[in-house]
Amino acid sequence: MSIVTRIGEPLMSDTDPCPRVSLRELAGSGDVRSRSMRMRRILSDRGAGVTLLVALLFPILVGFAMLGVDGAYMYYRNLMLRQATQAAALAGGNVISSYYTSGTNSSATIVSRAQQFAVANLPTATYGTVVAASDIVLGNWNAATATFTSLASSGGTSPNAVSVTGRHLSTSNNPVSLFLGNMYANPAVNLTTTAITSYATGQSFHTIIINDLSSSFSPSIAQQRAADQAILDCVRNSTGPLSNFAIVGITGHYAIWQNLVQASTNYAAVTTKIAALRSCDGTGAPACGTGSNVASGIYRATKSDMFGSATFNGTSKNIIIITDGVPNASNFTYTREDGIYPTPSSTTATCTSSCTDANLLAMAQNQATYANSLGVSISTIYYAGGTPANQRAAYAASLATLRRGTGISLVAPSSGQISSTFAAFCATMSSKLMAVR
Amino acid sequence: MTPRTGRAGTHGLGRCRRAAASVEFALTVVPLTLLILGGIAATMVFQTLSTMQNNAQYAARMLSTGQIKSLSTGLITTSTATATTTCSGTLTALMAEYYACVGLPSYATFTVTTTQNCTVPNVVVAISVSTGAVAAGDVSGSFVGKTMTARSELMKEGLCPS
Repeated sequence: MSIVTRIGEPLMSDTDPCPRVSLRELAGSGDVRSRSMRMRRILSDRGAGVTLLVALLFPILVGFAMLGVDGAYMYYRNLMLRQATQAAALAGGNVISSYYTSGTNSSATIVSRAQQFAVANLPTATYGTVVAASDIVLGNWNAATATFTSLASSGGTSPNAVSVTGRHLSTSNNPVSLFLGNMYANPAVNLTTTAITSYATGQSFHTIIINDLSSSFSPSIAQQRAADQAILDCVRNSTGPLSNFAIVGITGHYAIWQNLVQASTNYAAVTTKIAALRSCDGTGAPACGTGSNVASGIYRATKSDMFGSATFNGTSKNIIIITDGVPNASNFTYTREDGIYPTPSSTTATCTSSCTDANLLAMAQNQATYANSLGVSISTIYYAGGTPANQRAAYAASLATLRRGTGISLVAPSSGQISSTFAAFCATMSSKLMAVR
Repeated sequence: MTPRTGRAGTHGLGRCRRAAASVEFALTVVPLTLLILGGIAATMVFQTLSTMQNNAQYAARMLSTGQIKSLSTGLITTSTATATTTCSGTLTALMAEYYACVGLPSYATFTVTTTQNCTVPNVVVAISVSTGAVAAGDVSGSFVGKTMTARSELMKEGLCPS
């Protein structure tokens, strides 16, 4: 059987122009001239040229493939590590107030919460220990210089920031394994990232304190003064220089004890006002014998010359209510100024006359909700005042229903703990991610 | 001319270098193409996964800070809320899932599961997609039948639910 292209014309013949070199020719030895000729013949042979080229270039091609695949994979794993570290830092930053409220300057809650969210994002079973307890460090963030200083190096006891470092290290037995890295004796890489969260953002933390100046709360007036001063110090020292501060006193009605002013530039004057804080009646204080109505205080704090002003839009606005939590209705006709309407535009009052204690609590809750709609966070601080011991828990719980936004509720901090406890108020500010390295 | 017979002809074919480059190209183009397409497919998978991961954290952050208070099922009013939906044009900027879906390729179907749990308290956003749907150039079918998921879990801040 013949292989032909056309009838009578063979596909191959002795006249085939393809070069033919036998192995014997290639291996054979001869004189210099014949060897030279053979070498030229070999070099001029184009057979298997592409295969040879591919063979030579294959490591380079694989190298580029490694760059493409492993590069994308490393980017992804680095992203996961960064996000897990950020989640841990944000979680730790959110409970930084526990350092102050622990009573022993303990960081246990912060470390525990940070690790909880690190593991939630990068489970230990799959990724090893990414955030070790020793990699969660408390310290202080300097917004002006954008630097973090650990408590260990500063010797301080007032942290405002948490630094968390996430690691994929061969020394921790959790490096990132590469797909093609074995081909280049680089099977795994180490990754490290650090995230710092802090509430020391340099941003304003406008604060209006509502002090209960009713007769029933007079036993706690000294504690109110100490609390007011600690909060003022916190606002002035740990927040932005433009933070405003005010005090509204309440009985059944409100009275402005201190107008809303810039805390940093009016610090001395406001401190004097706080020292002069007293129970009802007298200049600047609401009238006695009218009960206790928190709604009136919140209502006043949201009027247009305070947090109702567009000036405060987009800033951190905080109302801190200090009372024994007892809504105490009085037998007089309540007006809009007493906070009987849920919103400024509302025409349906919760009650006007013959109001009950329950009505007053509902009014306060309505006012708190309205304030929150303006972006105001509400915190509550309960002191027992003259409340009977068996009713304190219920009143504290009742007061806590007014908490809104990022506010917190504190119950009867002891006099010895006031300074350290109220330092935590600045720690109630939402932590923000300050740096990722 | 005398036609060559079988054995002699085969021997001659083996020795012939005519069109050798074409034959070699045909032999090498297959692994090379697989290598290139495989690289493209794998890179697209990780690229998409990275985008999903970024979106998951973004949506979780929006929900955890209270900037977004709704899921695709409506305003969150209970202490534990969860919703599962697919990315589509019906999602609005008031819904957490909207931020999980922003910028994801339209040629694949992405499923978003969002949970807010006030007990922990945490927010979890998980985005999943069929890996084969995003692995363009996956001629070997290595990614077919697999599902990849990006997940982000953040602590819920402030009041909850809110």
